[in-house]
Amino acid sequence: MEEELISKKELLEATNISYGQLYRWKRKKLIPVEWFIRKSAVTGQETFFPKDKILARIEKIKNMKDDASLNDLADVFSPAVKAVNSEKQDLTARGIISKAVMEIIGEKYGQKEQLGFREVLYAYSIEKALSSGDIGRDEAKFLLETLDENFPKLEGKACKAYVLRKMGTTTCCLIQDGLEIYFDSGVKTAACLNLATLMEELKTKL
Amino acid sequence: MVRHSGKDLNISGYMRVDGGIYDSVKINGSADLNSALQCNDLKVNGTANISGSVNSDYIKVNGRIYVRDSVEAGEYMTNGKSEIEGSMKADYIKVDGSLEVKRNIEAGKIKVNGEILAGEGLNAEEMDINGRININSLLNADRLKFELYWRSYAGEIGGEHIVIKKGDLMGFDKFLKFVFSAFGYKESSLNAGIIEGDDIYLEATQAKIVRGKNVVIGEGCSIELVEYKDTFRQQNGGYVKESKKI
Repeated sequence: MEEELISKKELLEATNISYGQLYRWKRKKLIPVEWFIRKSAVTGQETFFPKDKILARIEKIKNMKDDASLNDLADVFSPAVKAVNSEKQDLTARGIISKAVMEIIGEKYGQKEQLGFREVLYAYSIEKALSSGDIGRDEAKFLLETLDENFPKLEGKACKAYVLRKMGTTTCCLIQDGLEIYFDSGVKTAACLNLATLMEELKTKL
Repeated sequence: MVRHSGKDLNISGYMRVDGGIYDSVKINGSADLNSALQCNDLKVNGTANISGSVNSDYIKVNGRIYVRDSVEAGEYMTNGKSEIEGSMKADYIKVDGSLEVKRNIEAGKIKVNGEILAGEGLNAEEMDINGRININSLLNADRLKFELYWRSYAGEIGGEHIVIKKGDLMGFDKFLKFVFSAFGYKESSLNAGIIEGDDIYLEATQAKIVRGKNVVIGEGCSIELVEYKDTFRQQNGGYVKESKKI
């Protein structure tokens, strides 16, 4: 699946930002270096970006930059896990994680009061998939297992979690972004969670 | 970061020692360090060869330093010649003489009287250069103020305020004037591929493409294409092959 690209020029026009801003945000790592794609064009080497990703990111930066310093923003967008513990009570009270999901988390991680960032991320991911009705409770537990066991292996890399169904059986997997995967026609994607996006959302909420 | 290792390293004359973690390191003479060095402050009067990385809040070199790996510092001040095999990261870099970094340079503020060279790219908030640069890929700085002497090169330049002026050798430091003329001083110029910014003022610059909000192409320039958003001015014989308002 080829991602649609947008040229730097079109981007600046579409988002009404200046060269100075774009270069500064690149320098502060608010925009991943991999998104700057060099291609040959009529005028020589030109820079392009994955269109949907960059437009979404720039909107976010524009919305957030008045309230947070650029360094704070860099933390939000970085694929690194935040070193923060959250109180279970706090998470349910603020509606970030529902009681139902908290129960599932409790079954897996025990009755401790605090959860590490990763554990909250897993809870948040299951929350998203469950509340949208995409998956059932058993599948949520399965997804939690998959995340718990495998997410650390992909630390720092953008990836997606898939819940797949075929012939009444469910399986889960974590796939690094940028890879092209093809399933057989009998497979139905019950849920696809963009963990990088969920991490960003979570970081702004915590 | 203040380290409390409780020990200092003082070298006088010539010594070969291991690296390690120290509070204060003073080298008066010549030192070869076998491994990485971490300290609060490092002062070199003479020569230091360090076969590992260097991490120090404050580094001051009067003379020469060679680092086999990368350097991370709060303040880095050099009077003389620095050669870094890896990358360099510092809050403040002051160069009187020459700084050569084989990989990337990342800094808050950079002030150069002399030359600064990067094998890869350079990222800084503010750069003030009197002398020359050679940056292989992208020079990315919010504010760049560059007084050109001799020949300079940058793959690309990007930032907010970019001011590049031709240096006036008459007002230049006597010693460096002598050095440059000893090397067969050539006309000052900057050769760059693409220059992009908000407000751009160029002299003595040769570039393929210049893009910005407000662009002034001045004396000694030769630009193939200028694309500007708001204003564009050519002056004092600056040559522009094609210009477009976008």
